[in-house]
Amino acid sequence: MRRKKYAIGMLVFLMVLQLLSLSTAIVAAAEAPKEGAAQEAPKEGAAKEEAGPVFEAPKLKPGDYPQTSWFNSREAVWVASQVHLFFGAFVLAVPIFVLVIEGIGVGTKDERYDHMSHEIMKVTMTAFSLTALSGGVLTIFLLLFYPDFFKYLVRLFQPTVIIYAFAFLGEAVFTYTYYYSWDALRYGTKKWIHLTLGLFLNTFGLTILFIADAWTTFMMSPVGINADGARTAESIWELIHNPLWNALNLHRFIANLAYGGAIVGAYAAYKFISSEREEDKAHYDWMGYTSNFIAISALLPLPFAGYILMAEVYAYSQQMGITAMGGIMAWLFIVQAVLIGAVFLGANYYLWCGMGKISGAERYTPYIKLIATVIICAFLVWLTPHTIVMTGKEMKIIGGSHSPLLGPLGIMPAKNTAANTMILFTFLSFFLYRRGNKGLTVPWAGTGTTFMSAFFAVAWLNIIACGLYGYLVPTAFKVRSSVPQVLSTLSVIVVLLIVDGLMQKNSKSLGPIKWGKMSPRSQYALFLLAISFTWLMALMGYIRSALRQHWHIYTVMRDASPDAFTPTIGHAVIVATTATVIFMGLVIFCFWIAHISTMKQAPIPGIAGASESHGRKHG
Amino acid sequence: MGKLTVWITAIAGSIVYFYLLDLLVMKAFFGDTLGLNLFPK
Repeated sequence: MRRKKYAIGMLVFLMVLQLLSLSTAIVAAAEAPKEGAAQEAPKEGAAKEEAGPVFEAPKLKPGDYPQTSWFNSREAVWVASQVHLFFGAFVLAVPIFVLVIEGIGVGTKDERYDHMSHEIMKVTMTAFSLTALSGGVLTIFLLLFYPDFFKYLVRLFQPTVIIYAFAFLGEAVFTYTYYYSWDALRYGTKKWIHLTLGLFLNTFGLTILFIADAWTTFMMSPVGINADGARTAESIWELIHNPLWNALNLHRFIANLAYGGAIVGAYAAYKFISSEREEDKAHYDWMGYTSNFIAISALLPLPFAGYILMAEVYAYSQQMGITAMGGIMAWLFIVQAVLIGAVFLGANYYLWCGMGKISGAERYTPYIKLIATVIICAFLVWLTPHTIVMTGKEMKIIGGSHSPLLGPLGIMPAKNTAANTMILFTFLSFFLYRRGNKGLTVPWAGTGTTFMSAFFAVAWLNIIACGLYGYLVPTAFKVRSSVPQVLSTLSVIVVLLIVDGLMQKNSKSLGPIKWGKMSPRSQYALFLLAISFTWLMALMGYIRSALRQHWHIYTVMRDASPDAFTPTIGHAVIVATTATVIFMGLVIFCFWIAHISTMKQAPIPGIAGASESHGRKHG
Repeated sequence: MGKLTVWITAIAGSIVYFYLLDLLVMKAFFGDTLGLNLFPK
């Protein structure tokens, strides 16, 4: 109970942290009226001078983009930015849940949490350096290959670039202080100082994320500039707070947590498989479970955040939305469905394997078949395309470009129903896992279980009914009928966790959880999660960025480079996969570095001072 | 309370909850235009 209390406390703590991160933007907003007042001065010219000289977006020609014969400049920037984003997502997300786990350790006085969060930070340290290095490579590539556009954007966002630089400095200072002071600030009041360092680290991390999101989303949904790219906004805040900014902030924040959890889960799996001692296996099994729990907890609301982002894209520009969901990018969403299906199946498989080590969980084993069947059916619906590329002969056999049988599964009501069903049943797997070894003692246990079963079943029926309703009404109603579907899923998660939490009060254990008694193949599910997440980010990140098509800044600044075209899906996938492979290679390097830092060479007899220095260092 | 009564009560209560949820959401989105016409063309 205390653990839960502290977990809630830490969540509130993180919400405060988010507000703090936004403070720089709020300060900028507060300053806006002052700048505006300055411009309202009688002499307009003088006011403009105060705000700096007016500049427009450069009208570029193909010759303004330096090329190299070594590689394609666009693809170099693409891969460099993707690898940087992978590392950025990882190092910004991990300190958030490390802080939460450390806080839980303080609350429960359980040293295991502290050890685990310390170890996770150790993996992050190498990744942090690689984030900076990949950022450096990206900046060099941008300066080399897109100098005019880079210069224009940096000039337009000048104040935020300065804040970004200082935030990065702050991030570096607090990352190193947080990590290296871990043992020095381990107990009592000093632990609270350490937690505060973690809070500052996350404040800077989130500031970096939100600023970078502002630049990215401004390129997609520019505001505060005229058709020539000259700034009309009175304050920088208008440029930052563009239509897609908050939607991307939310989506990336949640996705980063899921991603960080998945990568740490892969590290735990690697250590689990390579460990020989029982206690090490138990530790890394537990670490893998916790990381998977974090990844799944963030994964469950993630489709909703993605949905909000796409809804905002449609609201900003229907053309952009249709390019994404109904045009050339639509097939990548099918690839996305396959990968998300792999993520959900992998996560469920890991939980089902995990139930084998929980005494009492065998009660729920028969349900696994049912859950697996439902998830696979939902997965198949999700990946069914609306239209299929066919030859004339095939089209003649089917009777048109849409399959009369499977065509209806290709539209949004079916996808929304499938997505909510997958989330609902993945939650059920987690729920049964959580209940595994609990023997309920409250007198109303039977009534409570009946209530939860009925609530779950009716919620699922409501999701299906809302999906069917979508087939019968015009598009506007169809889109909005997805909202009660989402709320039904969220209702189940909230209500079942509350009711079950109350039911587990004074529950008796049916036996211990045998940590470490996991099959090695279950660990490959964790590798699958990490790789699928990484690949998904590369592919979906490409879609988001490619929605601008031949524009650097959508409808304002045209990309005149020879590479200003939308590549074929196959080619885009090859580039995204290259970035994924490079990143995974570097992640293996990070794991290896973390591993060799725990190794010690035995002192060699006969070398003067060897044993003494060894003793001094480690003793 | 018998087992069947518990089941019927739980299902009925859940149906009422989700019915109100759907109605509230659709009302919030479409306001008065929704009226009784649940299947607009």
